[in-house]
Amino acid sequence: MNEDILYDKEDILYIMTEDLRRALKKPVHERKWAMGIDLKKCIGCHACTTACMSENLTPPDTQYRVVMEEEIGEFPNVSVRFLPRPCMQCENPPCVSVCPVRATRRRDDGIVVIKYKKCVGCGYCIVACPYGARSIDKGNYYTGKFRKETYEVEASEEYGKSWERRTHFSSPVGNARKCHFCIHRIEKGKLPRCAVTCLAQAVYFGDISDPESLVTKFTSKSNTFKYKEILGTKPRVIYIV
Amino acid sequence: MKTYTGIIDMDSFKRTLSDLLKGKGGVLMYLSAVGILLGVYAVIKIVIEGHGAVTNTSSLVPWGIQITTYIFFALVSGGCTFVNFFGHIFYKKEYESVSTKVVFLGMLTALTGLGALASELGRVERLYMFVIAPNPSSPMWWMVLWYTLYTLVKIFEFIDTKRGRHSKSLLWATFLVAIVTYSTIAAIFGIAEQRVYYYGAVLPVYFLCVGFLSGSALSAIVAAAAARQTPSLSDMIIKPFRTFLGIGLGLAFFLTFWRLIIGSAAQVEGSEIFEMTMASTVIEDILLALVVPFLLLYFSKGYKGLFASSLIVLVMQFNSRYHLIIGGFKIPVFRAYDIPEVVPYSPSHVEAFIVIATISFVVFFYLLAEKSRLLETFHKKEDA
Repeated sequence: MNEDILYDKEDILYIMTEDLRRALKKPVHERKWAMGIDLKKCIGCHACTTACMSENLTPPDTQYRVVMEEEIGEFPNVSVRFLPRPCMQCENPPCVSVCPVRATRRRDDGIVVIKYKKCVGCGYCIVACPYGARSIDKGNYYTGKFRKETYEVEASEEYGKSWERRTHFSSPVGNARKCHFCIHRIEKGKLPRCAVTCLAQAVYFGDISDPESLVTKFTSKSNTFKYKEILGTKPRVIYIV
Repeated sequence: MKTYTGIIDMDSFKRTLSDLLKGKGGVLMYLSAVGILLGVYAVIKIVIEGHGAVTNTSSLVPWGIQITTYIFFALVSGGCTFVNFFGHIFYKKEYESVSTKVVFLGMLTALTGLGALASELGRVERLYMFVIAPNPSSPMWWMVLWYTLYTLVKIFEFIDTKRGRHSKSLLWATFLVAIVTYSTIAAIFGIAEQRVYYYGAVLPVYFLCVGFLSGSALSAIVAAAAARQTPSLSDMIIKPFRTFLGIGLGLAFFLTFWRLIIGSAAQVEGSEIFEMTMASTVIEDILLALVVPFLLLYFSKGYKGLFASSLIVLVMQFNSRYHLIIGGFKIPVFRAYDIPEVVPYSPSHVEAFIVIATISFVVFFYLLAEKSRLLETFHKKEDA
């Protein structure tokens, strides 16, 4: 594929949305959602982090997508590199096998989801995740425990349901939480929020089983790696370097 | 002169309660009652304000001092079971007089551990999920299954011991269930591959050995108290417990040392935690927790030395469990811009109250049981 022609003629968000809608026409078990992140393009602006927070209305101490900053080299030859970390949606997820009550499972399309109404909040999945991609919702609020702003208590649309944080007894408070590739958006034919927000358009998303999808084209090259691949988790997030 | 046929001597129980209300319960009982009230206050705070507002655990440190307390009491309970087993096998005559007390402590600490565990769960009201949605691939599910079974077996064992039957099959059943239960608890941590401080096949053996040590220490305190009350039988009563404590200290030393060596030699990501905690492991977990009590045990002969040594072991074993649980989270598995190099954690006052309450719970109900003659072996047509 000629990347220059692609960039010149069409916006990648448009192409990825077309890829997404094409994939949605396939049966669920034939889709393989994956994310490619181009580290050469990432500028470490944290727009994906904040977009994710506003999309999923995550409380303090709960972030689905953080960006690691790392300094490389010694003065005067110093540079910074960034590594955004969503949930890796592992094909072999340690969090699923350790959950004692089957509150977390891997869907046929590869997305690892949490059933909030089942989760007992034991925290074992958080201990088991090698990427630190899971958080426990402790029921905290940015503005304190007495006066809560509307944006903190309004319902999030995660997993296609409405999750209103009325009290600390309302799920997902007390539950484990994680990135789910904005599954509620995907099922409506929309891209994950981080992908559409990225200033540098460094995020590719789509069905990796579709050879025509943009994500397949970018991530099937040799200049890619998977984070902590040695652990055998088989992540579905592929970094392009 | 009175004969009673049930498990509880109701007259003694009523008399003890009456004494307690009249202010004749003893300082330790009132102190422990205050401790339990602190726990009630802590639980109310958690229910009303929620975990997030009153505890210092977080996504970076999901398991704090409440899980530490659970592990500590669970191991003490398992240790009491091992002491009871080996006591009956090797020291039948010497051990007989304290066997009911040791079995009772094993049961009481198992229940206390469950309480500490429940206080840490984010959604404790969903515990029924363990029954309706079991996941056999999870060590935690197996732990809950075995721990529940273990607690039930302990209750049966106590009733059996109390009735003076000392069923051999029940003794063996409790011993075997304890081994499975405590190695399963260790497996929860041991399979966490990315938490280098926990990871490894040595952890189940380590838990069994430090459990034996912790249980020996608590049993030895009870034995020392019994020896103080009956000076003529003092040497005989404390003899098995000196041996158990010595063996426990030796085993714990061996495994703590080898965990340290294995960890220090590791080259995987996160193994710097062993270097980081080297000083506290050597000074607190080895010297103060194992060497000092061993020397005290070796150079003292009476019950006082046994008591002091056991008390140090118990306090320092709690400290070691805290180091172990929190140590697993010190090095984050992923470092983003706002994640510190070393993750800090210190318990909140509510978490501290839970710890005080669990210790108080054991002390209070043990004293209540002892004063109510619940810990005396019942024989049919017994003359009290």
